Amino acid sequence: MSAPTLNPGFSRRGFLGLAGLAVTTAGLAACGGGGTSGGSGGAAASAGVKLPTYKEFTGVTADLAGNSKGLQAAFFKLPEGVTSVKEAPLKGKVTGLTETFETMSPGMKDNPFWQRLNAKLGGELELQIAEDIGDGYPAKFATVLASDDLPDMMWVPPNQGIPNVGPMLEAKFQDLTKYLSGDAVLEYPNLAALKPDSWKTAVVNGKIWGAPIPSTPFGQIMSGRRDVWEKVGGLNASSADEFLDKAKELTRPAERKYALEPAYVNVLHMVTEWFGAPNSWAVNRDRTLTHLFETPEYAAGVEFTAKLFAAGVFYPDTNVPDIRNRVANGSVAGQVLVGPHDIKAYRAFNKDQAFDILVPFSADGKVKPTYDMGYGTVGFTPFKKADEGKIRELLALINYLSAPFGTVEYMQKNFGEAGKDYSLDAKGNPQLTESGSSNLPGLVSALNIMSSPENVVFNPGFDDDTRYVNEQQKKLLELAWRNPTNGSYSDTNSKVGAKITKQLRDKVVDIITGRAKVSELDAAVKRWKSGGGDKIRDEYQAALPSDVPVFRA
Amino acid sequence: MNQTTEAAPALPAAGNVPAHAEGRPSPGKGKPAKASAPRTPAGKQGFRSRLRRDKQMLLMMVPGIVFLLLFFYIPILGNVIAFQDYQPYLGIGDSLWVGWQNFVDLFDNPDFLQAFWNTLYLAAWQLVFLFPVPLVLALIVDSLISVRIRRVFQSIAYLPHFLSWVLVIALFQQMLGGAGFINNSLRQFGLDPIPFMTNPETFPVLVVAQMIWKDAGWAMIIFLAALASIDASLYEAAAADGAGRWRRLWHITLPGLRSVIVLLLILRIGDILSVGFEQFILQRDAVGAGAAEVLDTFTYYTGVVGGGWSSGAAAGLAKGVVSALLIFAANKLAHRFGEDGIFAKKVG
Repeated sequence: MSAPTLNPGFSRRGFLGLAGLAVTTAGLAACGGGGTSGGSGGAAASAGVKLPTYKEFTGVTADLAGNSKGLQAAFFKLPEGVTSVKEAPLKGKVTGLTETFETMSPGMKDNPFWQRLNAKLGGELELQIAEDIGDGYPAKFATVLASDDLPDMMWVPPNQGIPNVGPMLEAKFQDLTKYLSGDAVLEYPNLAALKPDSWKTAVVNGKIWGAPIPSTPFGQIMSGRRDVWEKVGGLNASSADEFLDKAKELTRPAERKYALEPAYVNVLHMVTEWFGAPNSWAVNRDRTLTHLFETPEYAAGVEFTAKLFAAGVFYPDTNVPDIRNRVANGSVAGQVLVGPHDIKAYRAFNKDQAFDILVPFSADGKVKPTYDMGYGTVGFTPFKKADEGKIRELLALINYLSAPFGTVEYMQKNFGEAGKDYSLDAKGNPQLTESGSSNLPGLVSALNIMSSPENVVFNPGFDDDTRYVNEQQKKLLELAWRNPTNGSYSDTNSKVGAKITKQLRDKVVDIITGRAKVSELDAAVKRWKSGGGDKIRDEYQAALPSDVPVFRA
Repeated sequence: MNQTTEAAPALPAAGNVPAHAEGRPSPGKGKPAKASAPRTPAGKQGFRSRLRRDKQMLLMMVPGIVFLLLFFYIPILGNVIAFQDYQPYLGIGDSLWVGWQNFVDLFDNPDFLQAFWNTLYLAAWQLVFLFPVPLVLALIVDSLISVRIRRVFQSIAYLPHFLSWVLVIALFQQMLGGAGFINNSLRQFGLDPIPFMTNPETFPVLVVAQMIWKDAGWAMIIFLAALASIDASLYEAAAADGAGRWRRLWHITLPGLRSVIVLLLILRIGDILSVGFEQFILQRDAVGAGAAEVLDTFTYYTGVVGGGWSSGAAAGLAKGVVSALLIFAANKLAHRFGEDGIFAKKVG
């Protein structure tokens, strides 16, 4: 998240290493929990749902203003804290299931930061926190669901392949429409400050199931250390072949230096953008849909990524535990990150070097490159069915935890208490104390993945980074495409989408690493289509909103 | 429980012992006699008096039986979801019944067949190359004269058993990986690196090597115990008759170990489809699903991760049935070789 430096929210390793792989191959086709904004099936009912009224938070003014196209507001300095919540939200104990992308914090009993947060909340917030290891969260989610002993709140990620979201929500979770639709949301001002685009992702079957968790609206980018790439003319290229040459030059196995992180599917995603591939689905002139996998651009991308692999520019082992550190110290030149704001995470390892963001270029000098925007949220956190009192208590809690940047509550959730968990440096920016550094990151990451305000760019102490991210975001927006099915819902996708995408992805990785031939891609795509891809297309096609633009009209 | 059920065949068996033992001079000496001696009087007592006599024993078994019931036998009932379109939010009661459909889909799924084949293939490698290693190790350790060296060797050999697979694979990657010690050294001498860890064709060799490194020392302990039980006077007598080192190995040691070897082999065969889980899931990306997907990882990916609990359960059930058949087959074979196996043969 683009919030504080010391809290990268969810890291690339976490969200992209695993979940993001799904984003890149399937785009958000693997998204089970997508909302709906009109169409057929479960979506038919949702045409009528009234999204919560948007009431912008005006307590603080950004140094670099954002815009409605997606440009994120940016801050150089921490604003003076404004209070956004009048009374403590909790009356007793509430429980939740969430995930952390940092090293786990000490438990509540041994964690003074957690205890202080509980005191401010006026009750006890007890969390089961899954760690981002292996298939971490979806497996934990599935077992908790199967146990039938549900906590009060469970984070539902949109793109980690949680299956059958629609029927699951109807069976186990509370419909929150009457509490949040239209002006009802104004009772929770921090939730009213979440944008309508974000809310769309919390609507399934025409009902609102929870507050959305905004993340960057941007998608993956390739980044690397500036001085490393400057030796070969900078992190840019005029063609795919020039990029390959640069990567080869940066690969020096004898010095243990490699050009790219071995996240093949992420790199493939970048490459397909250079070839001008659509963001998951292309809307044709006759309003039919063509999936990314079926396009010649995708095939060309797979072929080129296989060429990169054959040239030996990827780090030679598949498991690299300390990849961020390696990029920061220059031993791996390039890595794919969750979004432009994420380059700040390198600063924790290397304060002296700047890091660049690659703007997609044309693979052959002719085709217009694309840039894939992200989903915009990391899903929503539905509540277990309960009486109105409990539901209102939980809504008040999420309202507190969604307090915007620049509020007292935001500071409490992300930094704790001044003097104890953090202190302000000479420039007025927060620095975690020793106790803060061990108690905060794991828990803050877990809190931010289940509840968040609209994101801003904030790299305290690195104003140049903030300006640079803002500049690159503007360039990326010129090439930007959104997934046309965002906010639509396909039953088949939520049932088999994760499975058939995984089958295809396994084959694509086989091709890239030379274990299978490029010619085998066709058969894999056919299998994807007959295994459910064609049905998913029909469902999305029927639900396609009329205002979604045609891909390259 | 065991005592009452096994007492019946034990009686006639006891009578057979001397003749039997004479027929085969060296192997299994003393073993049948040892097993049946305490049982002989049991058969003559009534059920009640036996109950009274074994009261404490039976009481001590209760926790074990409760544990088995709770964590093994009751969960077996959960296999019913293999015949349903099971959805966790509906529960077993409300999920749709689909009969054999999950099994039909499973055997139509090339990924499952690939996983099945991989499992058998890797199991064959393990059986041929992994199974004999602990035996050889035990023979080596047993032949060491210095007790001190013996202890040191034994400890070094079995300690890796206590490392987790994550550590073992990290260690292998540090040594053999693309950026590992050996390949970096090769590069320094201007040689091409060798893809030890990423070549799907040599994956079985890697797997077996890792298993030997980790577990062979541990498995050696049982053989060492069996070696210790061989009567030392046999060796003395053989040596006095002029039998050399290899003759003694062939005619005394190996026959003495025969029943243990057969027992372990049967257990291994029954377990053969469980080739491992962590070891494969951790290396799946490096060599691809085509080489590293085994039944257990397939079940995990379809069932838990993909939400196909029913097809996952069906795959697990299919595996269980095949495993049970293998155990019966191996046991039959053991009887044919004149060994007890794990269930005693019905006699008379």
